[in-house]
Amino acid sequence: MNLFPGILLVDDDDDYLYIARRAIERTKLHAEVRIAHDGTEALRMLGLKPGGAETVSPFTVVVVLLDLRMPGVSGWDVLRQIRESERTRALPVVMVSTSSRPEDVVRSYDSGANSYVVKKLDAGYPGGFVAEMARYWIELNQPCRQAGGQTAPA
Amino acid sequence: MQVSPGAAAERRATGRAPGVGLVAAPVNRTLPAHLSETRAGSLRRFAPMALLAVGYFLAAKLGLMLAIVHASATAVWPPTGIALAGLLLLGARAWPAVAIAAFLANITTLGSVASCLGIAAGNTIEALVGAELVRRFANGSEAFDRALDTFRFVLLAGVVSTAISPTIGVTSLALGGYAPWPDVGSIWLTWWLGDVGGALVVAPVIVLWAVDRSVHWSRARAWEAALLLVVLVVVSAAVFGRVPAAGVTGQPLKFLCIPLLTLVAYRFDPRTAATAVLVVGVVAVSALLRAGLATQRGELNWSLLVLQVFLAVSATGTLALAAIVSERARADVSARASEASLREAISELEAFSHAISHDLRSPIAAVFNYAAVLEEEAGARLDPESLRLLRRMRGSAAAASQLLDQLVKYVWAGSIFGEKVPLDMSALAREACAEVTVGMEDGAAVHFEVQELPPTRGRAQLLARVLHNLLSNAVKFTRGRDPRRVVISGRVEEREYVYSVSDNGVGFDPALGEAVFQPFRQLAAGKEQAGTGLGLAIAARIVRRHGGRVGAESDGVNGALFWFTLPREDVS
Repeated sequence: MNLFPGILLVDDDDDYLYIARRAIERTKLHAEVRIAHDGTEALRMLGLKPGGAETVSPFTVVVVLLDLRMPGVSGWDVLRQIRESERTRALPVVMVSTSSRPEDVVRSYDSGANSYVVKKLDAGYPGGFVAEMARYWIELNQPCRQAGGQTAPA
Repeated sequence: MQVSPGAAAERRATGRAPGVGLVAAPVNRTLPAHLSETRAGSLRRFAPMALLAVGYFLAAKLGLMLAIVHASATAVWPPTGIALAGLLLLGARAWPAVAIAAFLANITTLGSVASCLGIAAGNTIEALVGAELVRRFANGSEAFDRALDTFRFVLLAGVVSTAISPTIGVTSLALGGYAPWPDVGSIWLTWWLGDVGGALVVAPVIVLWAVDRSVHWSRARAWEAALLLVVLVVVSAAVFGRVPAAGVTGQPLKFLCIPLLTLVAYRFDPRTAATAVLVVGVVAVSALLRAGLATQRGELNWSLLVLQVFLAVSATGTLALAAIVSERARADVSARASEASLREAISELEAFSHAISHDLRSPIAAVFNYAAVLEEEAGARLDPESLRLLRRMRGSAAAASQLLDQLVKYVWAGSIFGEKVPLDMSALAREACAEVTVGMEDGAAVHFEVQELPPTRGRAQLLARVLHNLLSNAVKFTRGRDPRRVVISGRVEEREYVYSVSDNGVGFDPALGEAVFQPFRQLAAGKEQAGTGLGLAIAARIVRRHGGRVGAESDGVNGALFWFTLPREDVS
């Protein structure tokens, strides 16, 4: 049984996933990074689709960093299903995208996103903005966590 | 063989017309006998020709019956129109149908074989020549789709070719002794006018209905058509149903039909307009003939001649107007279609640029990040030159990413996202100054002066971008100067607000002029500076989207002045 709070990274870009995971691990956060390569896999890991609920218990995931544009099930589709399910309704979801189109931002917040972050090149270390986000949702925003009953404090 | 006062008409009038069916039947029976192809194929090929022949024959007999009603005339000679339409639709090869029907209609009335052959030849040649002229110069069976073609049709098939039949026919009659030579002129004129009426009133209806038989009227439209039809019939019957005693008296009343026909042409299509003209023609002729029974022959004939001229003129005007209206409707449709496709192209282009920028950003970020990772993890083992190249790799990736950002903004600047709101331009300029001061490495080294700017209406995000781009451009150009000054000022002109950003930098080559606002036109002095060459282009695009103008002035030494205008909405 994994006791660390889980961060679910959902993205179809392997390079981004590599950099993001590396950055989060370098923060020495007590967090487990989980990776889904597309929307379907993410839903399965969150127990919102049959066949994968056992892989990762949905209660160990405390924040989802969700890419917007993915082939097949898009970030918005995943977000909608998270918000529709009673169990995951309060799960923090941050949309992460290369798009800065106002339409995309507005649509994301309208769909219930907690935050919207544009993927930028970091002047500091690679993936720094992902690490900072992870730190915020794992450490700073901890009291607001609703679904994290089984998670251990950092 | 049409309107024929005098001997020619007597010839027709005295002859007893045999039963129509008896004559039509042999035509149907004999035609397929010429064929060697399969029964179905020959039927398909010759059914239209048989129809043409029967139609021609019936119309000719009808014309002769009208001549029986009163010995001197048939007002409109529909066979001319039927033959013309038939040859236009079926092609010149259908001429035997016309020739046979014309000969039979004449020979079953009265006259020698020779004179009937002459008349039939005249009718056939007239139709052949008319159809060929229309096909060659007036767009054939589509002559009534465009006004110019309609006028050509009127001239070629209505006026020119219709002179053939009377010329040959009257000559045949005179040579055969059926028409006295002194009467030839008046017979010819009447004959010709009858053919003109037939060509202009009957042919268009047949051609237009043959080309398109579908009717797509709404209920309201059908009611409108029915109402117009009733009014048209009543008015025609009323104004034509009497023969004016003194000739001119009462003639102007006939023009009451013109506005009605004009209305039909305006509200409906060429096909309906042509039908309306035919309705007026039929009603007018029958009304006039009924009234004419009690009148003197000469007066009735005179009225019929005037009626033919009237019908020909009405048909010309009505068909031309209907063609213009349908031309305009088609132009509207195609304009709407091209506007829609333009809109689609623009939104496709926007979607394309977003997709491109999205797909390019990821690999660029990967290069950027992997270079950083490599430097972090293996930097200590690399020689200085390799390290320098690694850093240049990172710099290039960053530059590419910045260019992408700007490209997206350039496309975005062309969109009309956002509503126009009242804007405090002074506040907007101060915000832009603050942004540039913080956002650019050396922004703090520049002294900004924001003067009072006239407020306006616009899209805040976009106009903030204009100010931001002009300011960062100015900051770049003042590098190396001490002190570095940038002044933002504004004034109110008669029809627009003018905003300007001036700096004491190095300026640009005056020869460049407006070219500085073109995409990717980096100013010479900016080459060593960071920049994508899109900043000014984006600003210009946004300003133009707001209905304003942009401009830039520099002597190439003492700084530069960039200005833009926005239209005043309080003055129209």
